[in-house]
Amino acid sequence: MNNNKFKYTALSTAIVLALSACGGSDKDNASTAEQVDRSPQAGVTQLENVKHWQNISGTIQASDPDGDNLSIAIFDGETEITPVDNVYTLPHGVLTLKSISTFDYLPLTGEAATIKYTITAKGKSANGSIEIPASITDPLAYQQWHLRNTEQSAFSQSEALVEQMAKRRLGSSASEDELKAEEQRLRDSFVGSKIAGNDLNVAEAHALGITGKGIISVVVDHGTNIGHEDLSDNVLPGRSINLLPNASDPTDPTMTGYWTEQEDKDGNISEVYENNDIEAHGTAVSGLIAAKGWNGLGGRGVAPDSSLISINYLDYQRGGLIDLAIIHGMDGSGIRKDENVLFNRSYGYSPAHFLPENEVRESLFAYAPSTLRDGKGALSIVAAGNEFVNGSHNGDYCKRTNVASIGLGCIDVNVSQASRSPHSLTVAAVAANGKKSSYSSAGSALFISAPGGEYGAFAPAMVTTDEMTCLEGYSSFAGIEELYQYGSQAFVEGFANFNYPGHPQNANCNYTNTMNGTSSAAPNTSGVIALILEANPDLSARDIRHILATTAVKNDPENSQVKLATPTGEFIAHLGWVKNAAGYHFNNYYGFGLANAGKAVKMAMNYKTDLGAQISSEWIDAGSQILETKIDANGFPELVVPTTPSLDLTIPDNDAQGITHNIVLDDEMTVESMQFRFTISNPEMALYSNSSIPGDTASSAGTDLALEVTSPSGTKAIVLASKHAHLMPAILDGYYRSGYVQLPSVHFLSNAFYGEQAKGTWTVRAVDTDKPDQVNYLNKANKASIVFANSEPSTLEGWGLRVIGRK
Amino acid sequence: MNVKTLFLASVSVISMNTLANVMTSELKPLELKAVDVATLKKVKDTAETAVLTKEARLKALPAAIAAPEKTIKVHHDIAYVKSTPIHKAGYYKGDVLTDKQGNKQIVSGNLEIKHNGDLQSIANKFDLIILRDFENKIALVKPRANNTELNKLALELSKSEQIAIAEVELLGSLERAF
Repeated sequence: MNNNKFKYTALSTAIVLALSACGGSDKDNASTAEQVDRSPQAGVTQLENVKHWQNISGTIQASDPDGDNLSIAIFDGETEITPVDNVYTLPHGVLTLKSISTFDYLPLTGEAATIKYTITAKGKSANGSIEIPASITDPLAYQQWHLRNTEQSAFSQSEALVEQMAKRRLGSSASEDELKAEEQRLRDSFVGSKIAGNDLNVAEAHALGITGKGIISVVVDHGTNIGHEDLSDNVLPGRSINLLPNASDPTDPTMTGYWTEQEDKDGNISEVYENNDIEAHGTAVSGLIAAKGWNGLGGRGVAPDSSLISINYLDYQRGGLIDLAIIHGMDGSGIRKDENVLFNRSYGYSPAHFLPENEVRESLFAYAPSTLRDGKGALSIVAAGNEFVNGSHNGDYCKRTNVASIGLGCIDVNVSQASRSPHSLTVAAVAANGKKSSYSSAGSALFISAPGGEYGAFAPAMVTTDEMTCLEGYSSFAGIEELYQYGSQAFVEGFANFNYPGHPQNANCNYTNTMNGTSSAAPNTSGVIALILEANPDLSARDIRHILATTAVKNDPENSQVKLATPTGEFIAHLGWVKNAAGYHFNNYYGFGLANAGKAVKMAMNYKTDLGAQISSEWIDAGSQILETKIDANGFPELVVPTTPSLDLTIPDNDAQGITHNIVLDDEMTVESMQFRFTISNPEMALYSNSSIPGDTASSAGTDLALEVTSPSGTKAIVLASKHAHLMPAILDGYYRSGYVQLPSVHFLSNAFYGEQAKGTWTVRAVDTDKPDQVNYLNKANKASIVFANSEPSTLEGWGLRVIGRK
Repeated sequence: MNVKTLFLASVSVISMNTLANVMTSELKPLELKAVDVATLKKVKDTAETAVLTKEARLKALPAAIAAPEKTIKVHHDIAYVKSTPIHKAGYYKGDVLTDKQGNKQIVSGNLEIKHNGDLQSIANKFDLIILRDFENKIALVKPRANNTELNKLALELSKSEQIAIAEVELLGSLERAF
């Protein structure tokens, strides 16, 4: 768990300090026996322009006319505070005495306060005070738990919600006592959903004066409302891009709708522009990174003085390679090669099968991290996806199998090339109690975690910027319209709460409390990276990754393993936290853990590590890896099965031991990430023409497969957990390849071995974990579909690995 | 406002999940007979196992040559016209492709390539027009000849030593907000 207390460089000087300012002549005269010692003097120090979470220095009005040594006692009301290394922790902030007369004060709550003190010299005392006005702040920052988690509810769990939900659940016939009991049950269910300290420790970075100055975040998303009252000061004028053709202002991407493809009842496809009053995703993402701080408006971004560029790629994905080049910062994007920039990508595509590598896309992904910032590299921060419970592209398969209930995700992060690319920094989401957000996709390709929250009604989500006015965005008449099908006006008002037009703290509906998803975790991480970059602009993209991995906090420390029982024993499909041989903790839910801005900024300021040049090894393959196709007589690309003998290792069905195979690496390299690729066959992994089933028919050979890799140092990592939705055969060169569960066209990524030595024996274990009952489900077209238990075992034909790291 | 469409956006999907907290709905049991694996027929025709298939009854054409009576919509200089289902193998400019997840994409007529150096010599050799030479040796090209089957051309290009990979450029809304 993140320890949210501030730690300061210890001041070893004693509290009792000599005060010499009051002249030596008095001291000289003190030799006269009859001279009377005079009392010390104390006054009132009035602080001004105090900013929330920003240190302010001041001078204590304390002196002794005789130059006697003074001691000081600090009080909270009438209670004396015991300092730790001259640091006094008060309910409203932290006072650090640098000397008897100088101090720093860090306001934590932002409230007006008086710090009383007593100075004493030779038994005589005087009382003084430091008067602290209410901080200049942002009125919603106190609810932004991701910045500083004090167990605030972020406008979730309201009494209005409790009351309305109880009424809804029990109906009109319920007695008053029954309603009260139900209300209490609901309140009880909130317990444990918020735990103080589970945050990004942003306040510590801000207290150092690091707020993202000079750093640019390019938000590739739906268009951002660049005129938003809490964003406009940070939006770089004229630098945003509206990709919509014929846009009246190509530099204003503020979202009004998006182009999409629709099919009518006759099967005709047309391209239509959907006006959209609700979608505010880009605006909400931008606010999490860079909502202006200390301006008296809304909340605060993680990097509240950083700059923003918005590109509305999700509003118009019809621009082909030219637009893709723009969103990756290539020439034509307007992004200079010397700018300190990062890219936030809170989007993706995660279907129920593994998408093959596309080399052109990989070159696009590689561009910014290798070329921008004068070659130091600009990071792409990528949302992992929200598919742990419900896959978005496989109908209700995930709901029916409900693998999330045993702690396994339904769609693995590695399905998508963008998420598994070593050029991406892929982010998972955590809730306000430090545990995995229920939806956050899991897998070995994750790098780090950040707050994403839950849904904002029963547990906190994110408080951030929304499209302005009550006519647009999540907080708007349109945004809450859907709720009316579930209840009355009172119910809607109670359920929507902060998003309901008219909420006293959101009168103009310019803010929302229901933004969530890994879409939120990514910009929260982007904000942390902006802080790191301001702290040390000389850092390379790899240095920043190194800092994030090193300073991440092991959140949810008790996260437990998930064991799958088979007739031959148990297979551990989720390992929980694993400490690798280089000392890094890794978890398939969280990557290296929860980002910690304060620790990361401090490490950045004192960064001395030289990572050297990054290199990638060649692929080292074993067995029969099907890597290519050739054009057959009909013009189709057919698989080329290599002459190298297959490993031919039968993966026994429903057997926890599975099979293992080793590859020995001779290269001396330090691992930054590992890639793996596999050729795994199963004759039943095919597309079926099944007249008795209107939808899809698939084998469980894909869903049952798990892949575990052990490094030469003995560190285990689950590269593919079992039970995920893997309903299609492998893909190569544009075709589903019947008979193959996996082909090397997918490069699995694991960050679990970060910092370890690559040389030695790598072991893969392939396991079929189940013989499931037939799963009946509705596919995306709402047609009845099945997954049947595979009767034929799968075979590991070949596998390979590649090291990305340094000598 | 088209609510159904709007909820395709992922954050709205999350909102739907919020609503799921309000409405606890049970999944209806699906009573399907257990299949006998031995009786199942695999799809063998490679044309039917392509990831993207030309099932849509629509063709995208330059607006100037599109028949008005068949035109459903004109967007900029592209007209979408009704078409009979296309079974001819390969990808041609204007083809509308569908995958098994229901995503629709349009063949732009261009090819995305990752080349190894001399783009002009590649263009000369394969009779291509260079539309844009990006950084990282990525380029956008198109065949000089109209009605070229693009998938086959991409595969041919990919086999060239001068080209690491060639892909048919597809236009469509595949990625969603998380």
